[in-house]
Amino acid sequence: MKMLEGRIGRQESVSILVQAMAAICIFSLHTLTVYENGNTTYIWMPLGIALAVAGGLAVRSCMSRTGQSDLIALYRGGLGRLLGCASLLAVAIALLWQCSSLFNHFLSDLHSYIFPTDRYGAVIFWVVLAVAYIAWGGLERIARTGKCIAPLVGFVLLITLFMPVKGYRLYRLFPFPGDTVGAIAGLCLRSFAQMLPVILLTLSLTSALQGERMVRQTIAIAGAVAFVLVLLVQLALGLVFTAEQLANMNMPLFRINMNLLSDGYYLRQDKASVFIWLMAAVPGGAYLLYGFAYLFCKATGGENIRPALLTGTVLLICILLLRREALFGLFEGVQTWISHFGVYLILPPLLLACVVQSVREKRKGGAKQHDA
Amino acid sequence: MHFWDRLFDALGFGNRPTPFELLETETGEPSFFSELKRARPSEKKENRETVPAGIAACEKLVRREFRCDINPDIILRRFILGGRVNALCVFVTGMVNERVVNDFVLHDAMHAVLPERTGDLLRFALENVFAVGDAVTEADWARVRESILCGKCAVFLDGVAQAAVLDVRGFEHRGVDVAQNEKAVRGPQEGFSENLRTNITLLRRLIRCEDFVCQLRDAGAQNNIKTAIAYREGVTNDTLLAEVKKRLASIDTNTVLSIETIEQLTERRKLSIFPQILATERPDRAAAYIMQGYVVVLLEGSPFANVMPTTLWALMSSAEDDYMRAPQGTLVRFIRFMGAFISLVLPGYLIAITLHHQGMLSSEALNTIIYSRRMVYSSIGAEMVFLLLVFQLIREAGLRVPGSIGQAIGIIGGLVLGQAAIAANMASAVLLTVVALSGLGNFCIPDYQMQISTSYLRLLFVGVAWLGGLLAMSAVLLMLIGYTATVKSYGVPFLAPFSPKTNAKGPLIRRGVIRQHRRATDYTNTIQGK
Repeated sequence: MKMLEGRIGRQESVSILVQAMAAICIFSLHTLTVYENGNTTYIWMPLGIALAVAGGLAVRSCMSRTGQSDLIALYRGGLGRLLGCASLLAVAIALLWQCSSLFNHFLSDLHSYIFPTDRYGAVIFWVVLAVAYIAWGGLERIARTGKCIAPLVGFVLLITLFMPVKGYRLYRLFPFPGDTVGAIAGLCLRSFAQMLPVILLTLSLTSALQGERMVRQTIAIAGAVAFVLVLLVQLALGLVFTAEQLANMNMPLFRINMNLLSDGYYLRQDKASVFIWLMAAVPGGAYLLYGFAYLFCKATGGENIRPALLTGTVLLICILLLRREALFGLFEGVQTWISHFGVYLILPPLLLACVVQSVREKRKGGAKQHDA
Repeated sequence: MHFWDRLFDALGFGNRPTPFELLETETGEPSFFSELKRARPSEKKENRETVPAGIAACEKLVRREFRCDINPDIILRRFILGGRVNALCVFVTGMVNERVVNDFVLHDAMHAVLPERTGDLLRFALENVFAVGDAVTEADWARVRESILCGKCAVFLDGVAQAAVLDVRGFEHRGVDVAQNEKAVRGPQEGFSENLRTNITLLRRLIRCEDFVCQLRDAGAQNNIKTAIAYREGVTNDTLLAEVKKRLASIDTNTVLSIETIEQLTERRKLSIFPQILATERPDRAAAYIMQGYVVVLLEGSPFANVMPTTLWALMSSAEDDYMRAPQGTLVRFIRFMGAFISLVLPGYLIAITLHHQGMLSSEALNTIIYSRRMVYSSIGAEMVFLLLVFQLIREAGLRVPGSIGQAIGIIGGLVLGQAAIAANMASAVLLTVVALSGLGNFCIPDYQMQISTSYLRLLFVGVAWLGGLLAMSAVLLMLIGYTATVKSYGVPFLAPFSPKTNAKGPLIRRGVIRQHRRATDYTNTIQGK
């Protein structure tokens, strides 16, 4: 119980994974780079999710064939203790970075849009407090909170996407990405790299998710739901705003109704929907923070997750504050580096571990046949 | 008297202590930070004392143990059984049905015809003399003593090292009345009473199953009160049952006078804002839960039953929900949940949008609030807190003041005080309306403890809304949901069957159509096939 894994059901695990993936896709976009060649987010984002899900299922299948219960066992068995721990640490740090990226964008825009006169630290305080509290309670609390929030978020999202339907214009999707296939592929890989740590975290939680079958189902169902969700949201944004508008806009989902609704009650309540998105992002962020602490403990042999959670929370606060207040340039550089090269720190060890374990298993199977 | 003597007398210098004066040093000098030490599990002495064989020894024992010299209600009645054997009947007057004692114990015993050789005399008397339904022999003196204190009568025979314990209980108690705190328009109207036997009977009338079990045991208090554990043997999950029994067995305290004490002593999270046990006054509700595999605990002297485990949905449902048809039941439940949500969130929401998010209000709404508060001299947050506290005062006063005056307090507090507060510029009409709506929503919550929790949680929301607006409220609401998600009642998550989802289609907000089924609900993991 010191790792606070608990045991969660399928609906809960799917909810939390969908929220984490959708929040990363929708709320941590670097709009300047993403929209520079036109708006193709509705293609590469869902494709990235699909790739990540396919990769996750493939890894899970490899783990089943080689008798590895979870990702930690796969890394340790395939890469050895030292390299396996280093790889787990890389995934853990990636999760923490994703959590900070998610809240960095979100809180910056929340601060500019809703609380311009308040201090940024005050905005961070409330959000990180909620994230830390939910993560502190363990996976049961994270997943059940996510499940409770999911219907409300889904309902508000449907309303948000449905209300501007009269303003959808196909021409805003131009230019079609006919000559930017290479760019789309690159962005697709970037989306895949963004999703990968979350999928790997889910693969590490086999006991909490009550077995291999449940892990497979969770990843498949969550992937499908996140695929559809992100596709709908990005398509809706693309039909409402042009690429030039989106490139100069942070959090376009906040403003999707503003162009279309005249001054009235619904426009004012648009601000209330921001807090619904926040409530959707918090469990996702808590999942990422918990994942950091969990994998850190597994990599370093820690028995109690809470000190690592506390450390992660403090690091998160520091990153958020420094990113905004002091070392903006440095963190932007780090962000660019991670988005371009981060996948090379995570993917090769994973592939190597899978290959090594598969080869070992084949040799074992060959040896058994020979003995027989 | 001299002047100084008069002065000292007036100042009380020469006063002698009154005959009775309770001094804090009677049991020794208390230390500076002394407090009552918590009870450690006491080593209960195994009193293996048996009933003495001789009648004189029995009488002496009874007189000593029951302090008969100062306890006039302990009756020791000597008589001759069948004209041959000396006997002693002991009972507590007021606890027994004296007519049964006179007619079916003493009269029958005195006029009994004993054969020459009776063998086991006490057994013979039980089988042939005492015409009482529940009659057993008992050799353990502690049990005999306990039985007498419970209202039974004990008959000792000379030369027999046992006593006949006869159930002749007939003490005065309140009859079966309407459930005062759980009223229903449709459905049964009976409520539990303070008599344990009556309560068990009320349940047995509704559950006529052979597997329905009512285990009686000590509550674990020094006042030796009995508690009953009611469940269905073979349906109720064995682990749940074992846990309930274990927690009840761990009670070792001075006094237990009500089932609420048992609730507090057996809860795991004693400081939780949510109760982890459902308390009900209605036998029909308790019976429904027993049929579903829950465990119900009753206590002598308490008109409530504890149902475990419980969930948020059970605490938010009333007995009447199941007696209405599905559409009406769903509507009522929706109104109830809406009321609870409004009660919790509305005051804080108003503070948040008025102080931090004025852009969310239309100009008319903003003007209304500004105009209504133009002469109020306190800040809007302070005014809201003041009104909520006044509401709590009126509520408490209405509960504690007896009879019809209590209703008048509500009217006076609500109308007169509210109007006077507005006239005195202490409150505004808008906030008063919001507080009143919030209060009404609070009363929609069926469970009393949940009502109290909600009424104080809304103060928290007002506080955080004052500090951080909707951002803080969203964060705290999430934390509250997170907290609720981890509360467990006897191992069952508080939000089951919504989160985690279970196979049981338990009552949530939507009240589904009642369909025919023979299986009990499964988030208590009842034994399969029942």
